[in-house]
Amino acid sequence: MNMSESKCTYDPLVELMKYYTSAGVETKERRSDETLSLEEKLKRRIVDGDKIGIDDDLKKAMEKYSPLRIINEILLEGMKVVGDLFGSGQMQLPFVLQSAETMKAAVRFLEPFMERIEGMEKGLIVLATVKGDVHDIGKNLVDIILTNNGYKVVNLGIKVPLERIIEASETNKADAVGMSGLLVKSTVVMMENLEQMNQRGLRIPVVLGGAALTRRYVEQDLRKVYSGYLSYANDAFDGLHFMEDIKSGKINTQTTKEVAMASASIEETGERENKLSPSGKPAGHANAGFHLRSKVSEEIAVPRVPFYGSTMVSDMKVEKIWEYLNEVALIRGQWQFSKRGWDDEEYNRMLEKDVYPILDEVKLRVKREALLAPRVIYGYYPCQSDGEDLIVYSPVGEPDLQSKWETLKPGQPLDGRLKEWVRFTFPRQTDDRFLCISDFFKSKDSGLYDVIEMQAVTIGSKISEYTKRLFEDANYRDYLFLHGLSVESAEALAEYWHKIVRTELGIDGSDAKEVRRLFSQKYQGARFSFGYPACPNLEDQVKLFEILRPERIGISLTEEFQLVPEQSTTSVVVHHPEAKYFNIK
Amino acid sequence: MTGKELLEILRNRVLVFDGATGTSLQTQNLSAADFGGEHLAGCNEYLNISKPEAPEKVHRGFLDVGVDVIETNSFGGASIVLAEYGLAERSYEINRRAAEIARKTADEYASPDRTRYVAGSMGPTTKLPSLGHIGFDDMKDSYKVQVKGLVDGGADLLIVETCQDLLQMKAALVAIHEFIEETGKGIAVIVSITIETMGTMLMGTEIAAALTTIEPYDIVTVFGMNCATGPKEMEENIRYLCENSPKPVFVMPNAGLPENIGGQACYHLSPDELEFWMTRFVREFGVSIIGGCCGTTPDHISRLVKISAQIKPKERDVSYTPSVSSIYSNVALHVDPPPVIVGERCNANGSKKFKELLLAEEYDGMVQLAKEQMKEGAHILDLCVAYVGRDEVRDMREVMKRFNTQVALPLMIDSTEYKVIEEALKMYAGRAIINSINLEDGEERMRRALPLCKKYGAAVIALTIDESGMAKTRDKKFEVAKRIHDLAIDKYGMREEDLIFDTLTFTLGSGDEEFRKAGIETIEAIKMIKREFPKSYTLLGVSNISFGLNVHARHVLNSVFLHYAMQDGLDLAIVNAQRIMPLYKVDARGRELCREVIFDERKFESAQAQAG
Repeated sequence: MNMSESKCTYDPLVELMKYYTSAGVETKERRSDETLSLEEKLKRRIVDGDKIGIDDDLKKAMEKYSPLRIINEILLEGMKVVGDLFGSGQMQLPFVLQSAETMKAAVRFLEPFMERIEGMEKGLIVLATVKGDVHDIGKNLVDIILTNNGYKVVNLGIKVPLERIIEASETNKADAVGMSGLLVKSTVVMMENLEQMNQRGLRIPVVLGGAALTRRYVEQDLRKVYSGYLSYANDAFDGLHFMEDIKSGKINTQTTKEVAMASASIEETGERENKLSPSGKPAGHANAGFHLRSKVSEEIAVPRVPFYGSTMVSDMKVEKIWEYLNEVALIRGQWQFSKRGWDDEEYNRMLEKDVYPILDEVKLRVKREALLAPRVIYGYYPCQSDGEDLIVYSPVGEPDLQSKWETLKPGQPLDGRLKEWVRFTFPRQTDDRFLCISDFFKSKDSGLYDVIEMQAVTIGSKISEYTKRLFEDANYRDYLFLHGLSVESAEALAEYWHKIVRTELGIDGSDAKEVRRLFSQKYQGARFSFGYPACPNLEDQVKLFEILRPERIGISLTEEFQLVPEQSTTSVVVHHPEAKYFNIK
Repeated sequence: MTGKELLEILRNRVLVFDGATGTSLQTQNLSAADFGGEHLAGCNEYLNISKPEAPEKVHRGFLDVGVDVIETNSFGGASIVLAEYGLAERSYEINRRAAEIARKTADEYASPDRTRYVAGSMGPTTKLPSLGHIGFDDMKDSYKVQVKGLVDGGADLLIVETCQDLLQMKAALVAIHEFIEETGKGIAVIVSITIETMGTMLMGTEIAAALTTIEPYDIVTVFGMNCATGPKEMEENIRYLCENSPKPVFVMPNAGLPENIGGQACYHLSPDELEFWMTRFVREFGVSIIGGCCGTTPDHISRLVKISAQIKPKERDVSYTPSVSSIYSNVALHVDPPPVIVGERCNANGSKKFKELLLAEEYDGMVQLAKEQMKEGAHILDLCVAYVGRDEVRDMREVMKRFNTQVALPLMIDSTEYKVIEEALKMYAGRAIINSINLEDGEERMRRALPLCKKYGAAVIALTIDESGMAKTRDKKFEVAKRIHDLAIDKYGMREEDLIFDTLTFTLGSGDEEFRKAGIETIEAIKMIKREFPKSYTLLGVSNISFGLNVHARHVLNSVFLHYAMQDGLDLAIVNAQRIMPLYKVDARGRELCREVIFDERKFESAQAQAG
């Protein structure tokens, strides 16, 4: 066709120029929001986390669609955008939660108009923090994201034994099971659970998440023990993708067995001589001769001991504790304002503008509602090492009465006045520096007594109850902010008390001047907590409880050796200058 | 030995390098007199002259336990380092002696069925060019003397080791490149970087950025890492290299992390542990060359010889994604979803703000503008400082000095002057893109620019312009692209993945009959290029499509056009990231109008009549 010969009756270019006349640019920009279709507007509300006035839009939408279609075809599309933005690093977690709150508000509005709620659920997952672990923020985030993307979640809570997980998944006819846990130990529990499930012939898809897990451990080690489909979730949206894959049939949960077996056999050829232990590290490497003492100096003088036995402290100013608040851990770690993709200046500007005001507000709320009840119990005890063992002594006679302890005067000879009381056994590194916590103390052979400080601190249970309520009321953002602050406040209290202990011991000379550098151990000695790499045995809590009796400030120990209230920590303080965190492989 | 010969050897087995030279010399308790006097004490390289028995003894220690390769005692043999002892002038002699001593000793141990090789060691010197300690050419010239000395003394291969700064590494490679060009001697080259305990190179370079920068160098046969830490700390990075590097992988760890004991660095890793880790690296990851760095003794190295005798390296399954890189981190040339966004505002011809900053020589402001674009979502930044009446070389130097370390995004060097381009490449530590070549003056631009790409490892943008001007139709665009493609690969030794084709577009905004199909032709050309040259990339300066329209219409038309170009395979887009909106933000009517404009859906009377 020869266009020049025929008369043009419609030229989109002319229309385009008319449509966007210079004069109209401004109004068009502003109008664009209003000219959005109702569907787009609702979707954008979800993306922007804008729930104010959403009811009106929903009412209008209900004139056209059924509530179920509004959820599935409009609102969930918005959540999908949120997931993509989060996945590509363009959206920070607190804003994701704001979207989830909006989603929840919309669903809550629509629910009464729906005949059968079950119909909307795209799939069902049973979630649990595994036995022995109380950490649930990650699992709850998965709950939030899945729930607000149309999945049904049966959230079993914390410290859940395998029996309950299996039972719940059977009674609810679950499509999948999710297990979570923060502790290193939990990764072992997960392996045991999977072995059990496998033995019982269960093949339900399982997703695992938690701080101590790695993709490698899940995909290489755990897949060997479980024949069902097994996946690793690095963040809450991975949990969503996992469910989507399962429900869409993208993952053939029947054939995964062969895949798992195949990858296992590849592994075996590579690993024949070095079987991996549950931590993903070679277990067979602990050759004879590696169990000697480390090179830690034995010549360190014992510091002056302020007193023997334990004492309690309860009237502390919250502000004082917050001086030791690790804001980086709080903002980047707990709150997940990630620095990815930001340069320093921009990130700092964002912190000043958006984040610190939140911190101030949350702190104010905590103070106003008196949510923190900080208490500490701590004490100094004579001790000696014996190989990998650490012996804690008590005065001869009744051990656990403070009056007895007062017969021991710091600075006076201890010989003949002590008896062995509690004995810890700490693991030794099998390579690297062959460190063992006991090495930091005078040995039995030296004939000298060393000192160890132990402490239990708590910020009370009120804030845990408060945050739990926020979660139940779908105030996800506030939940994240307050929960994060509560975790870091307990840490801050432990850090603060460690500072006091160094002062009392007279070893605070090398303390960093800036508080933030204390978080990277810029001081003499180290503070170890059970369950962490250098002293992984949570069972040692029982011994610490025998010594300190933290029940006196309201801290108790569960059967799984977890502390109640949740925001409590116990630790032992080592004064030796070479003591720093290390890993046991 | 040529790179090809080295590859041939590595096909069959693991090659074993020796252990520590420096720390082994220390254990000989050499006196000041051994070093040639008090003023030379500590200058290990001068021992080659003053006490050749000392380095020879180190070599023997390692040859006795059966290593394949010994390194010359020339780590600090560049004149830059020797200058600290007043020995700069003697660099050639010292390096040559170092190689001769190693050669003689190695040959003594060689037998007809067992060759012992000599690797000429080239350390990082004491200067960091990215921090302006030394100019690129001075550093390169210093290395060149060292290279010549080592090769003349009988080295079989060269190892550029303990690299701290990618620009320092490049200076060494350009020295070798020039040496090879000038002498015609082929020699295998190993490059080994040092990743500090913090997980990056000293200058903050991530392993992926280092791989991106080194990968295009075909003179480099093997790439790996050495020093700073023990094997355990290297594990993740070694795994990364083994999974991603197309070149065989080299590992030479220290005997653990050094501990400072009474002012002496002490290394505690036992031979057992070294054996354990290196076995793992070879058998599970597929490392090809193993050796020891600081603190490793013949006892350690004998274990490596044992590994080499018993284990074949795992066959690696490598997937490499062509990328570009700043000194810090890399950016793939294709992302999912596309496009890779090239920020256009650091351009004195395109951005008023940048031009004003340049005229006022407000360098910090320019850096700020670069950072703003990063925040707006750019992945790569175009950088053009050409401005009539100004000294472009000087401006590029001043700007690049800052951009190299202060801008975390990879740069696209945009200039028509080869001198400016080379000056920029000499100051840029990462892997840059050169913008651009074309056939406007026949082959001339290619002849000038592509050797620079080869020398500095850059990628290049090729515009579909030839002697007759900017190509308008899809066929013509493709024809020009093919001509450039064939020449670049066959004649200049580039690889398909080094080429980024810009199919250019004319504006649709003028309404000229001639250009009504400009959008379609451009998109169709992208399709053809991606089909015929699947490893190459495509790029488009999107905003040209809307030239002449008002701001808002441009904004929308650019966004919609970008959308369709991406659908048909566009990899990179030069845009003001802030002025591109996601399609869902464009109102439906505007979007439809843009689509009709792009695909020229005008309606005509006669057409209607026909249809009726």
